[in-house]
Amino acid sequence: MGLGLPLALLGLALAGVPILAHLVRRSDVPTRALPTVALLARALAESRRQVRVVDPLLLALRIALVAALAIAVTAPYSERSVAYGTGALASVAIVLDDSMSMARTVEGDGTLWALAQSRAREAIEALPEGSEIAIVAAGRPARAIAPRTAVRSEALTALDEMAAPGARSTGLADAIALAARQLSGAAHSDRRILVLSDFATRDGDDVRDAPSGIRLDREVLGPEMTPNVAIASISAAPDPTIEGSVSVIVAVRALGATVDQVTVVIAIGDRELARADVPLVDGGGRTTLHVLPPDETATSAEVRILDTHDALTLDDTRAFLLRPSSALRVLLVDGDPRPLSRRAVATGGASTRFLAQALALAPNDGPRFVVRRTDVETFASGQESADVIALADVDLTREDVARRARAALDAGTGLLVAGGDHVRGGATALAERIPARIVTAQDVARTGLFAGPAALRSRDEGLSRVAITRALVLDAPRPDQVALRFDDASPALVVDREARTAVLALPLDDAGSDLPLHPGFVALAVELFRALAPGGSMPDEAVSPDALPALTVPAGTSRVEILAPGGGVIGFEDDLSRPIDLTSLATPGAYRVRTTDGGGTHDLTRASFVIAPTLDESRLERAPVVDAAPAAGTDTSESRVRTRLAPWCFALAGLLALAEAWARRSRPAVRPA
Amino acid sequence: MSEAAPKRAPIDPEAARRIAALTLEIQRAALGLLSGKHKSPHRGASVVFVEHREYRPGDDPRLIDWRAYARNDRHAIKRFEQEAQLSCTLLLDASRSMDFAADAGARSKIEHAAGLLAGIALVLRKQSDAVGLVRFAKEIERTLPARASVAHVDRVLTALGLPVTAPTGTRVRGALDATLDRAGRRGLVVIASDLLDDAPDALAPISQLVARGNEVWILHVLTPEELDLGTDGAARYVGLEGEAPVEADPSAVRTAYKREVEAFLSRMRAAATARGAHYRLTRTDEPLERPLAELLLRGRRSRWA
Repeated sequence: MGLGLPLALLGLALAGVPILAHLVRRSDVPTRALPTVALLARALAESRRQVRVVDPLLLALRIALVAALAIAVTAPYSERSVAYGTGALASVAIVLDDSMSMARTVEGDGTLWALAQSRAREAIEALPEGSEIAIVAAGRPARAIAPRTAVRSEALTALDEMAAPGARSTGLADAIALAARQLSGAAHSDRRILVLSDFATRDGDDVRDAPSGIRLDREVLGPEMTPNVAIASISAAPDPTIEGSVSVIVAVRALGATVDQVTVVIAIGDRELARADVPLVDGGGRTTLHVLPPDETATSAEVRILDTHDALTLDDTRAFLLRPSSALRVLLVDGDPRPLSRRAVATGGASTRFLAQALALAPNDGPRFVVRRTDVETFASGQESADVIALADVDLTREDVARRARAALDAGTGLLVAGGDHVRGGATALAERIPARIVTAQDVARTGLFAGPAALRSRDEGLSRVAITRALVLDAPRPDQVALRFDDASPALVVDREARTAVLALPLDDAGSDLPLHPGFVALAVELFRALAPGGSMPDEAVSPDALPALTVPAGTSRVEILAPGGGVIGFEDDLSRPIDLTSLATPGAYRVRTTDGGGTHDLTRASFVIAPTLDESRLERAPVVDAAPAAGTDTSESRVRTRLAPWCFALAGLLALAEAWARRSRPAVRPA
Repeated sequence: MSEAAPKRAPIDPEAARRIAALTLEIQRAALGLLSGKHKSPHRGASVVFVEHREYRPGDDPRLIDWRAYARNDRHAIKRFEQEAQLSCTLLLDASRSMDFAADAGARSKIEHAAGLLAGIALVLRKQSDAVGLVRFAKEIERTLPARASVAHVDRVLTALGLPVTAPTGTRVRGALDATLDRAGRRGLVVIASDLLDDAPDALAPISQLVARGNEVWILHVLTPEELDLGTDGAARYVGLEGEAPVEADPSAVRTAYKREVEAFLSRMRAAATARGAHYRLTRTDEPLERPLAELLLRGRRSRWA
């Protein structure tokens, strides 16, 4: 309770007016002579008893009336605490940080995530019925958990069903932007974004400014800094000294923690495979452990830090894959019959040197490449398997080469045929397996490669300036498979994505064009070989959830099952021809992928992957941006809502006026003088 | 008590002129010492035959009706009405409560009462009847014996017009008792009062007056404000005879008050009529001629009890 105009309280003195009026009233009334006053007195004898009651009642009513009016003028208000908002209808987007740092425990309060959920529930319930609510998760990538809805129960249900924080990093800026989009077209003018986070993020500046027309409320959860010990990285590689063993390099960081040494173990389930003490110097330490997987069925293991007793346990354990690298194996077949020098071997040979270099530069946003080269003879007689075979400057009329290539295609290998001096037009042994017919090879003077209907890339990156002096003349039966074309619209690159075969009219070296010298060549090569590779390849290294690529499964797969670290199974059956979005996965650990096709169910080994948090997420230190915010643990957007009581006072005064009129009418207006 | 000049004539000349045209007809026979216009129970020398009576020794032989003797062979004497002089005693309540007028400029109760009594006096003076006066409050203030001389009636009129000087209340019984002593037999007694006398036997002597053959008239004089409490608006009402004042809003209490007044009037009327008196309520706002006319022409008995 409070008064907007306390000085107006002096008006209460007016409450004495009725008392004074009551007191002086006797002298106010006129005096009339009446000889029959005795009769009047007798007539009023009965009424006098009523006078004794009505008069004080009337006086009390008048005092109350004046007091009510006086109090109404003071602008009284009642103040109540509202968990969020102003008590009026609002459109609110609640941004909950579900990054890993929110999984830390706070002494006596459980996890920050539990606090955030509780606070979000409190805020939702504080909003009046009819308010619009949206819930956005701020762990990367930002996700709309509950689209804007005016049904409170829906928002609460979505809130309750939110998964606990996993290995996600913090993406508050993206989440706030997503929340702002959720509020576009909101029904209420009071639009708010409530951010519930520990603000343990490096991009705090991004949450400083509120979106236009939207109030941004930041509530800081947790202490300013929490000591934490975390596994920074794991690098596992086959140990060449012991067959079947794996060397594991474990890096540990103590972030704000005064720990001198930690013990790490490598285990598969409950079975410990190796243990080591890691001394920490300047907050970090590293050790190498050698493990011999107990059997070939084991595909992953975990590194655990023992007895850290820190607030965040998710980063005390990290999985890694025991299987061989899932990088795409590319076999470059150099059709040039000249013997390869040592340097040429190292760089990939004369015809494939540029391609090898380009694949080595492949970014880590997808599978990497393991490139090997060979000559035609070796290829034709060998059994070496690969994910993609590139026939560079190879005479395709050779039956042995064609047979070997067909066998590889039948085994699911992708195939690229590139031009060169040894590639001639006419019938080839692979004519029925490649997407374009090679008409002839001729010297030309052309400039530029341009995107065709099946363009691999939308960016030019210099391909339009490629100078071409010799090229194959291709006949593409399906124009929609033309990925690149010359300036006269004739096909330069034809790709059959389903068969994972391609024909390039240019040689892969600089003999017929300067294509390898353009920066677009790297991107073109990487994308082309990834397109020709069988699906399902995933990164070997642990990745954060937001960096996890979409999963592509082999054609003919009817069902995909992802086996989560906790033993859960996530099944996918619909539209498997498109990459499967895995952004919903956030639990750190190793994931296995199992596919079902016509041949039964089997593990897609190369699709196994590991989700692990980034080291930044283990740094439990609040960003400087929120220093201006109130202290941690306080409800910054909790507000005290004032309800104006003046209308009620006026209403009460009205009722009192009516009561006073009634009492005045019912009063006999007689008093003993 | 000083013989101060009246504030105003007890009756205005025009009313007096109209009243003078009236003739007081007393229903009951009046008995007067002098020969007058009124019937007398005594048979006398008038020409109006009343009855025959058996001759008894001592009767005047001149009164024997020989014609009746011839018819009946019995001696009977003729009796004639004897017209008597009326003796009227006027009782004027001059208590403090009578000095009350509804409004400034309006006729007060005592003025109204004096006017009524003066009207009667004027009529009686014209008829050469005797008029006396008892002016009273709590005590008898002034008495004038009943006489018929013009000078005496003028004194009566003068006494009627005196202002109220008594600060006290009313004692009707005292006045009636005094009248009982003075009025004699078969006269007329007219009381003009507001009868605001708490004494339960205030009108008791009327019985004796009536028993003596007097005709008693009670003129109950009240103002309109006394009857209906007058205008609205809360006021402090004070009595004129020492009653405790009260504050009242007439609009709120009028009904109960009028009920009380009605009960009071009924009580007075019943007390009067039960004792053989004639009762007439007269408001001060009604013309004097109306109650006087009814009084003097009582054959209609319109508003007389």
